[in-house]
Amino acid sequence: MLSESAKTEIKTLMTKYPDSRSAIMPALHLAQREIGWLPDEAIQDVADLLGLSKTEVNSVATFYTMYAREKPGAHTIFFCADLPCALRGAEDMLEHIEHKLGCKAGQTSADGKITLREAECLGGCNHAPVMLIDGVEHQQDLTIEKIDEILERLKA
Amino acid sequence: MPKVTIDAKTVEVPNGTLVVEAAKKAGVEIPVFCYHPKLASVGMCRMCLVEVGTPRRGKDGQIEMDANGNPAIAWMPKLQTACTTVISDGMAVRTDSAQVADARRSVVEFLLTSHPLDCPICDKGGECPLQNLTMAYGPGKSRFPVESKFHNEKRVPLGDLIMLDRERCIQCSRCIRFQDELADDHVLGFQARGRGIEIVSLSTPEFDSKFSGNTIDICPVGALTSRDFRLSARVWEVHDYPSVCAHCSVGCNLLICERDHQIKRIVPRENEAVNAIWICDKGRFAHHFTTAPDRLTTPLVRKNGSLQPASWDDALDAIVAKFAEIKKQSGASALAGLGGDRTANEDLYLFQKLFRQVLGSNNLEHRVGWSASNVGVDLVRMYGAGADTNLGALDKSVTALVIGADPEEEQPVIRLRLTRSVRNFGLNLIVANGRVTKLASHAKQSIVYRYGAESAFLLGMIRTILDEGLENKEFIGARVNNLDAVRKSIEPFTVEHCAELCDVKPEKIRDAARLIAQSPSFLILYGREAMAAQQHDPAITSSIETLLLITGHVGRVNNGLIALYPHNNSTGAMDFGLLPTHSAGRVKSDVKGLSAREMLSGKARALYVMACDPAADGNFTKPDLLVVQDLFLTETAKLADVVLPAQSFAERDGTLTNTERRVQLFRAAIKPIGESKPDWWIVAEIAKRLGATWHYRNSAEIMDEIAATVPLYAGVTYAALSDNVMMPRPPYGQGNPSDEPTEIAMGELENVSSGKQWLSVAESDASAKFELFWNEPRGEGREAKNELVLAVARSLYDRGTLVGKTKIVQPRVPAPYVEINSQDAEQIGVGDGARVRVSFDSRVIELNARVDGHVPPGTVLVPNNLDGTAALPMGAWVKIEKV
Repeated sequence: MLSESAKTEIKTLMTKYPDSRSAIMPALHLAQREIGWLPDEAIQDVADLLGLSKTEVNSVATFYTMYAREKPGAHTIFFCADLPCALRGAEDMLEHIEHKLGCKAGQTSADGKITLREAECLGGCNHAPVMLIDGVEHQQDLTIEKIDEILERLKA
Repeated sequence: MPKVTIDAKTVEVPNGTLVVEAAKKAGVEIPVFCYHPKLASVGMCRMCLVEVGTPRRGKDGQIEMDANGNPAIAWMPKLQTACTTVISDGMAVRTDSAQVADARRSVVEFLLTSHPLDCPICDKGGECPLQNLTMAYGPGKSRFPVESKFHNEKRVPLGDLIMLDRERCIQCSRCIRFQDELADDHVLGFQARGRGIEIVSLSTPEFDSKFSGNTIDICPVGALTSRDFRLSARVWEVHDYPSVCAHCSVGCNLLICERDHQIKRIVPRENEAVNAIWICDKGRFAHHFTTAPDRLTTPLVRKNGSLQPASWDDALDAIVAKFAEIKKQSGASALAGLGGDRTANEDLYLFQKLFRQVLGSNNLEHRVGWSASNVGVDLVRMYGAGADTNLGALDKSVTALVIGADPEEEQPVIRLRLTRSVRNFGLNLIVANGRVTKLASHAKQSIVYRYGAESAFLLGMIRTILDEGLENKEFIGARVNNLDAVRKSIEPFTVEHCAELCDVKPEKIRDAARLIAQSPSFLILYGREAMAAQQHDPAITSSIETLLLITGHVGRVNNGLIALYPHNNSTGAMDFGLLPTHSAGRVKSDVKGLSAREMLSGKARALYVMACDPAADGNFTKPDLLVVQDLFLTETAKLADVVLPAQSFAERDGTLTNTERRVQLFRAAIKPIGESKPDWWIVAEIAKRLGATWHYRNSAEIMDEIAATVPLYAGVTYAALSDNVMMPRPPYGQGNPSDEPTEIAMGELENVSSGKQWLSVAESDASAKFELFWNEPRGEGREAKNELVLAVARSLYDRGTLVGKTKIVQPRVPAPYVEINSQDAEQIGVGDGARVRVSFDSRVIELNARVDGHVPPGTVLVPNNLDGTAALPMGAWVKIEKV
């Protein structure tokens, strides 16, 4: 499943820790970057490389929300559901997004374009409400208009 | 030792003790869910919260006193978990305060937020810590509305043997930790987190572990239940009978839980010296043979060519008449007895007594089938490991060499206990074999030698010790003779030469030898693969002896030899002289009897076969009279003139001697099947009809006679063997089960054991002198041929008579396979899972190839107890082709 270059990279990662199994999290990130998510075969590959069981790797991959064990849409939105964002209207905005995408938080829109997920604090409370797109793009001081713009862009 | 005060009771406990354990010593119960004395503490469930304080010290560093002159206690501001807090001198603990009671109420209330409270239909009900602790410490009712309960899946098969109820799980992780820490099969894990957290297994097959059943016992709720026992009885309705496992030679202590004359389930019985609180899945689930529909229920006598039901009198009279006739015609030497090493000591003792004293024949054997390689009769008698050696508690002062053994498949619980010793106590483990076994992953030194060159490896270590002057000179000077001759003989065997012979790096041999010689204690555990080699290479015997003697590692606890035999009473079979060379008590016979091979090739005119099936291995010539006594109509029984129905271990009393020479008692739990009789009764009836004046009313009387006549068993009585037999609850109908501890086995009895070990000569006679011997190692020309050497292994789950009767474990029996090294596989042109044809001598078998790195190049391994793989010759040259 994983490419040879990814496997080589994981092997290098393993040398950076006193106990090579500690490389499990960066290895999973690497796998997810390459495949887009973490199917069973990727879990198996990482387990084989690190000398762990598939069950152990799965435990880590399912504990952290930023690993995807189910195939996501082309883009993934993490929308903050914590208190400061809620105080600034995030609850209504989330409902708006759900309505727009036609799916609930935790699901993927029917066209397969966008996966919507709730997140705990994304660390931008002074610019609440906030959301994170594809793990790299922070959007803050959100308004309904701003959200519509973003969704249009992602759907294009 | 530090003193700790718990609820005003002061106890002394060793440094490093956890508060929860100190409290047990003080007689104070601290409730727990996630904590387990055999597992590492995690502090996950919070049930054990207590108040903890330490003595208050002034600025001068002195302990301050209160008004009463007692040390003033500085209480910690918050409650602490008793399962992770280590005691210190002067520590005070309060478990009876309102604060603690409130904490416990809250924890229980939270644990029950989504618990289904379905105790009336839960297997765990009646022996459930969650039920018991909720009654004792819970709030009585919940503030959470019923509608807010999470509903999760209630019947999730976790493999073939275990059912998971996700609603009942409290996420204590005992099962996961047991699998990780002791079973060493990392096949259980959490998935997700928070309220969505659940136990999953992603292995193939699911929950792939030989020890999975233990998670049922240690689960503190009804989340993990047995698919075999599930919903078939309430635990307070079953009668518990103490028993001993009928499968391998570990001799795990069991409880048979019986109801309506059926075995409802088997659970471990605590015995720290044997199995602690664990058993393997074979011992737990493969008991259905006892009540299989095809059990023999009446004697059968051959009439007009076919076996017909007969009365006991007719069957026994027919045997006796024919025995007498053959003896008259051909003499006693034409009579032979083949007794299986699955029967009890009492049966074996009477069996040999019948032949030796009543019939006057020394033709006795037990070494057929899987037991064919049972050797070490004298080695074990001389150097058997010191009494009370506990393989589960060997610390860093001990080095153990496990050679030619695969305990994971053959003695699973010994593998489990050695793992615990390595992980928890620092045992120095050396694993040497012709392949990589599961145990090797825990070894400090893992050595893979060339099969057939075991003795060269041992000689290399002996040579290192002698060369470097590491031998125990004091011990040798006082008690060992003949070292000079050995020094001379070993001269050509330099470490380098030995290393070349056995294909191990010289430094590895030296490292192992140094570790052994410098260790205060040293144990050798040698297994069937080494024994099979030993039959052709006497140098293995003399090398083991030499290694133990020159280092002086004999006659003490944690020192000496443990021979890992295949069956539950292999040791008993040797103790009672089911051997042509030794009589009862392992005393050398003057007259050598027939070997098993000779008996089976027709040299005996009358053959009495008790509890073994030699015809199944082929090469069987039917003698004039063939009597078979067994549970089933075996291959041998089908050829017999008379077949006698015997009772299984569940129907009768008896004793078994395990591979560590521990004699243990098992009790009848169910009614006899049909007209079957205990083996000892049948043997005694035959003896009586031959004129002997035997009057045994029960098996206890036979043991009394054994104790009086066989010195190894002096002092062994049923009463002595019943000491410390741990029963988890009062007998049915006596007392209210809820008043008593009802959990199956909690591992609270670190220092309690039952059973009685007989002592080796080295231990019982402190002035015994020992003679060293020299045997030339078997020189074998190994020219590079296009052939591979065959190693014969064993699979825990087999196609044998006993396992075959339990449906639930059948998916665990592997399809016949051959393990091949990846280099060899590439040469042959096959990959993992391919079909291959294995040919040797005149036989050809087809198997699945496994290419998983467990065997070195040049070796292939086939388990010999699967479909069509019986009676493989260890060490044969084989050819492998792609199908």
